[in-house]
Amino acid sequence: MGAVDAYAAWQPLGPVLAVMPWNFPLWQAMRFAAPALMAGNVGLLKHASNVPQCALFMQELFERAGFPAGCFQTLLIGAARVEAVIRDDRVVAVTLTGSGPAGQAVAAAAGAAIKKSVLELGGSDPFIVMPSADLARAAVVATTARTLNNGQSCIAAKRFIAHAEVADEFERRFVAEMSALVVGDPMDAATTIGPLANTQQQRDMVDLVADAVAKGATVLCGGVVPEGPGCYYPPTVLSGITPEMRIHTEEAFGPVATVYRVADIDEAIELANATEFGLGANAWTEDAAERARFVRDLEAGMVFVNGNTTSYNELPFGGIKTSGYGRELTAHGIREFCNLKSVWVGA
Amino acid sequence: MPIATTNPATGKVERTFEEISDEEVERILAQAASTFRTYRTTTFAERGGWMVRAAEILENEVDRIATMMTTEMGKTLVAARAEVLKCATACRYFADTPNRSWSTSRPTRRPWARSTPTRPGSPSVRCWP
Repeated sequence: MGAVDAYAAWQPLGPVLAVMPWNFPLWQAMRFAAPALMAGNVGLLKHASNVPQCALFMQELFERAGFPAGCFQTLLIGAARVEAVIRDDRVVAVTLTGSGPAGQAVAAAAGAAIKKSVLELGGSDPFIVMPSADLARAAVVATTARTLNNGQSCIAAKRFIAHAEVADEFERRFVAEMSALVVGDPMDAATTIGPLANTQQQRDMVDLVADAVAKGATVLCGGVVPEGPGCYYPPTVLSGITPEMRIHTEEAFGPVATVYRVADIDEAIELANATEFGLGANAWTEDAAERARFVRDLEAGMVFVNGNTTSYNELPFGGIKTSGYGRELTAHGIREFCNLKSVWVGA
Repeated sequence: MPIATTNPATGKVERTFEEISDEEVERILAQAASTFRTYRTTTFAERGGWMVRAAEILENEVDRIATMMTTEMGKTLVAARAEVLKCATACRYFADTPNRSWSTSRPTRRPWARSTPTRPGSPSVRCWP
């Protein structure tokens, strides 16, 4: 006999744990919560330990909005207690946005329990500038791309790769834009760069820059921690980067840019892809053939041409390689934590 | 790392929080499981209504929420306000557009359909998994 109907339905799975970072303390949590709740799942949030008020606010927000009690709950626990929550039979899946080591630990615990996981980890996004690019605009966007959120974004452009024909001019414009940023009190409307989130972040920037300089890098601007209290670090541009420098391979989670020069598009793509990460990639060109090459050949979950890499509700967000797996936002994001149930109904 | 709000602009610890106990974790997980049993049967329209209300709260209280965020992790108030409002766009987006169509997929090719014509005389071949 045949079927009168057959289809596939995405149905909710159950309580999903979200382990979230401090850099976008509301957006990262919302990027999980909104699709999860619409799918019919319920959420559990283990947020970074330095944003507890944001963590508690997320629970309060959904309660006040009218969602039934228990739909979205915050767990004020340390990282050491996350594994036990993942193992708990009532938790069906886990999503993490954060560092590589945190992702490995969470994915290992989820794997041991045969539970689905989604990981959004680090990135060291390339920003490629070709001779046909609008250099003035590229330099302005490069500055925003590197320093947005005080430089603490996984999809921030971190490695600036310029074609030799335009490298001098791009570098000059980029350094001028970076130097013009205003570092100061984040509450002040004139400030464009606030402090890093904590002293560890500041130390990480100091160490990465010191390592590069000791191995021969040139500081084109910034590089010196300002006097006074607060975890400030100035917008910094480094050139003369070699593979021995930590910043060549590690993610710089602060307003520190590296600039590279390449002879042609092949070298640009090779350098762009020569990283363990594969989150976003950014390319600047007015040439259609070059654009097609970048779109086809850049190893990244997201490629943006002639514009800043941004997350949109309407576009899938996520990476490849050690930047993680799975996608957030769009219908893809909703479906990540669903049971895709095939249904066949006979007469 | 202790659970605390430490203002990165000043280095001052503004608030500290105690980790919740194992008993409290147990209570929260039990509540999550019990809420899911009924929440899973709510309609998209119900969930969407609550989600739109969440967007309104974010929009109405953007200054207070943004100030809290800046105090905790140091992003500029301008950036924090933009983040709060972006969260509201996510609430509205997921409350609305994709939710009528994302949850079911009906194939256009239907080998199981009763009306599928078979060639006269051809044997019926089925492959079971």
